[in-house]
Amino acid sequence: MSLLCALALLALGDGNRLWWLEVEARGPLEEFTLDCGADGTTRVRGPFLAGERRLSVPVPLRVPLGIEGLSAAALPRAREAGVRVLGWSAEQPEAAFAREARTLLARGRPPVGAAPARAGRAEALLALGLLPLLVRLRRRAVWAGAVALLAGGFLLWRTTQARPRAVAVELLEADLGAGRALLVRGAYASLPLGRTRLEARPDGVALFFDVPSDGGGGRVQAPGVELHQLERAAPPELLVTGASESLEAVWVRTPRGEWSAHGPWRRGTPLPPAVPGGAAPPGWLTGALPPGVGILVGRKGADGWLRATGFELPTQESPNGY
Amino acid sequence: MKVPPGLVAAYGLGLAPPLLEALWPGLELVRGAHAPILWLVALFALSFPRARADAEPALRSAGLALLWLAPPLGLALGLDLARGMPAPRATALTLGLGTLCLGWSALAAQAARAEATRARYRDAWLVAVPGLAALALALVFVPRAAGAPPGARLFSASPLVLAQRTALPGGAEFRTAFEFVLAFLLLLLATLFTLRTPRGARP
Repeated sequence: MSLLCALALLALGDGNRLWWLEVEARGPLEEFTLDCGADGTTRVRGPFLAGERRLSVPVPLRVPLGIEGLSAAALPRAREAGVRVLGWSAEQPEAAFAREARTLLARGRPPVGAAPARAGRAEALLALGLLPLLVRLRRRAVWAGAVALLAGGFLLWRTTQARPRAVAVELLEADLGAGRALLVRGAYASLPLGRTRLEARPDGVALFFDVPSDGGGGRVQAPGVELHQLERAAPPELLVTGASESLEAVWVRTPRGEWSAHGPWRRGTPLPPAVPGGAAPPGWLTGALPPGVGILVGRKGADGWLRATGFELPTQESPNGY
Repeated sequence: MKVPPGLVAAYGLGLAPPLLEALWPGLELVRGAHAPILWLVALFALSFPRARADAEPALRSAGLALLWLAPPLGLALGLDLARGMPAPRATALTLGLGTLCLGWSALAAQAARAEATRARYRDAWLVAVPGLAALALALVFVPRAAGAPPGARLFSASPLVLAQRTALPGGAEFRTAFEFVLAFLLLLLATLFTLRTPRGARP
């Protein structure tokens, strides 16, 4: 039975793709790369001056058993001779995070997409600028044709290189009863690297980390992959009598499962009354939520969302709601 | 070579969607394919009945006009390929719509050489190009049960309707061979009607 459970866990995978590794870099070095095989690489940009330097580096290794299986996972390999992998960092932010935010982690992630490819400004303006040139060349029809053909070929080649533009989305997941929240940032193909947890869809694809040696301002790149970065966050204050931040649109679900739209909710003002026949909340926010608890879903901006469980509308016993 | 105003209009209007999308990143004008939109504008502008004839042979002036459209066409075609249109389909559409455009443009240039053919071409063009497209448009907007009107594919004989249908999102699944045959048949009919020798002129 335990073997079956282990196999099931292996098949499902833990999902986190951000683990911290201790390395020792012996300079001088411009940069070095840690190789996780099929799981990807981490490129650490220096420069590293002469002498030894120890640092913690994130790596995109896939560890199916999660933090419990990390010690048994094969260590990434350094490609440069001057770099030595010492072992896994004692402090893995994912460990405590997974323990504390288990219920929040189990919720669905926001869908991320990509805006379709579009022409570059320079190419589009070049095509526009060619029109007066062609008109000037009208008496030399062969020359005009040759210029147009060459330009057309060049623009065709340049534009086929255009890639879909990433659309980022941010979701604050909160459990008001437990006083916990986590911030989920989703993006397509590229995302700033955080410290705690990173997930990728489809599972098992190669991710490429690019980090500076001081540890901040890193980035994860993965063409064609949906990425979600999860970090701890302060839970929002959502009292029926006043919210700590403004929301552009709000929907509330009662513990009995009835949804109501409340329109915009300004900071510090009471929750507006339900709008009869208001628009429904997006489906991805309302699916697979725990039954029997009050839920508030809100939009914070063009691509910012809030989903809080444990939000109660006022009753006779609790006139202020939550 | 005198630059026909229709050619400049086709160039500018065909370039407008990718240009505006490039200049305003939040703007999304085209969900389907870009290149057929260029062809739609070009088919209308270059087939427009002309008041005066060119000095050059009709086919040559039509071919040169198409060459002029290479820059906006390259941009539009590149975008379609970058958005995932299969290269064989993009090539087939470009060849098909380009040949239609060449045919209508050459017919317009040839018809402008004599008063009689000019008048006949104007009638043929009015029915076959904007007329059929307007009828298709009107039928779509007339309140009726959901779905396309019966025999909707027949309207693709108008090159404008054909180009519009190939530009629609999901056009990769759209089978266009039949529509192209219809469009070429209509071009052939228009050519026969325009360039036929009047009875009184026969020896």
